[in-house]
Amino acid sequence: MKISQYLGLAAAIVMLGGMHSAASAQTKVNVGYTAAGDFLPVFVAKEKGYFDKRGLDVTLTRVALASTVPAALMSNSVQIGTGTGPGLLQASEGGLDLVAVSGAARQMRSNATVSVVARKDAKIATPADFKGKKVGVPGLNSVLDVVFRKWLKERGVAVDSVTLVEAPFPQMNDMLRGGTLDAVTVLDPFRLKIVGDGNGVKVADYFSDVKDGMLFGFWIATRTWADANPAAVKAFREASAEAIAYIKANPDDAKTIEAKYLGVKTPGFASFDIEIKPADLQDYAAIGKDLGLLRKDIDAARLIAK
Amino acid sequence: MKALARGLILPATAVIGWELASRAGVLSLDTFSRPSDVVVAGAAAFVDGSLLLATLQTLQAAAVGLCLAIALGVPIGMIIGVSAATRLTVAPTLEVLRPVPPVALIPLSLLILGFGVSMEAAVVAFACVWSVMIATTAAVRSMEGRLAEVARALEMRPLAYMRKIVLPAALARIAVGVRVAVGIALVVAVTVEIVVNPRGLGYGMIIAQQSLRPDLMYAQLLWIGFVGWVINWGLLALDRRYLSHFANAGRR
Repeated sequence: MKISQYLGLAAAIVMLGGMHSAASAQTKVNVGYTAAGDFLPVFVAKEKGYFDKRGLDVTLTRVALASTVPAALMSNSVQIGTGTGPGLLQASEGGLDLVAVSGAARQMRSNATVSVVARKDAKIATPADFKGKKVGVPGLNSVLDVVFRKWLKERGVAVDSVTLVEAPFPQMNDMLRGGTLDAVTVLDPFRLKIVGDGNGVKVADYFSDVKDGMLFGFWIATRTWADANPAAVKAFREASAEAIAYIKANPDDAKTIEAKYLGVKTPGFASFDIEIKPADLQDYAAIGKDLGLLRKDIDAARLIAK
Repeated sequence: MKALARGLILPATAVIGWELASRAGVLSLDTFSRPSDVVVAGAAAFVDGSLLLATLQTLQAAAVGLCLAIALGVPIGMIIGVSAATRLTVAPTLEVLRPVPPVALIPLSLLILGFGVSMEAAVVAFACVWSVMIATTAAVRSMEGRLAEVARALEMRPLAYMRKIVLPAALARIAVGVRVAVGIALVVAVTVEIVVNPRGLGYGMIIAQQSLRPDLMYAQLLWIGFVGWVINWGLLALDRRYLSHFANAGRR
């Protein structure tokens, strides 16, 4: 074959490839999630085909540590991942250009899934009782830690009078029982287990104490990806919304799906909300500044994908 | 046979004691599970294929990382071993890099390579390359001086000298370095999976823990121990069969 023939062949192959991708115009999206019931709508949307019918080919990957999500996004091994207020703000102040693409759930006073739980014999009943105590948080500067510090400060307890220690959720129960920790900030299903086993008693639903309806988990992506794929962002939100309606109508089936993705069943449902407003992030920015975790002012509206 | 029975006394007593203690309620089931539950969970994971898949994923990353370490460590080690000038130029840089804990590179490799086999293999390679490189350098430097003279007398080109004289003479000791690296590879691969990489045995273990399944977690822990033991046993067998022979032949 002459060179021109080779070129012709190559062109034909490229065209065939193009036709193939046009025929299956599904956008591939890898989604990294952490183990929390807040993200159930996305599991349901995957199982019920709500992503497929909107042209999203979603693969769900469970990530063991929430703090690895930003790096996984930057390396493009996942395109959408779970995020929190402090995580997003600290990452963007650190120079990672991430945006929120969709809400997941809020902490409501009527339906709290996060509490600070104290060891039975630690004699902690009021905020002031935390002075000099050792409290386990899932990660320093994690959302559970940051909001707990804000809660203490608002109630006149000096944050440095409390020792905050990193403790993974699965180990909190043992660490309370063994007396290593006096209290833990913990979410379901671990919270229910600790209280149910009688190892701890709930002191406060501190998220809704700080603000009722506070944004909790949500979904983030890199700005580059979100800007390049507005249709995918829209489809992701719509599929989640459809899944929330399905969960309301079919709670039992939704619980089965939850068990499949999380390995455990929780009794209730989180307060799902795909809506995310600049004011939600502004709340976290104010907390971050108040606690000295953030230095710069943020433009909250810029951190939310259109 | 008698020795085997004796060796089994300790673990058997521990397992029976563990089972009885958890049945009597002395040990908490959330923390310690129960040997019988562990066996059931392990068997289930074995039957549905998840355990085997995870094992293959871990071994794949460890093997790719190890091959990378050998592909880099042996040539670099040989050059450093042969050429004093290179050694003086490169050694300071290597000495600075060597003490960096491989685990500290996990965030960086995640940022660059993302989830998957490549980032895990990269961290494994970094962890393993040193023992291979050092073993190679030492082997080359302690080579019989007359071999170099022979090469000079034959007017061998550098590449031929490396291939025909240096590599065969150093092979046995390089293999010792590789054996050390194999042990490191498995440990580092599992660690990377526990910390970030969503694949393999380490990931399975951490997910079992997060799903409040201590029985499955213990089953995987025991399985990782077993896999490590099998690999070590295989290496020892290889050692006896080939390397010791090799090493003795070189010495004579």
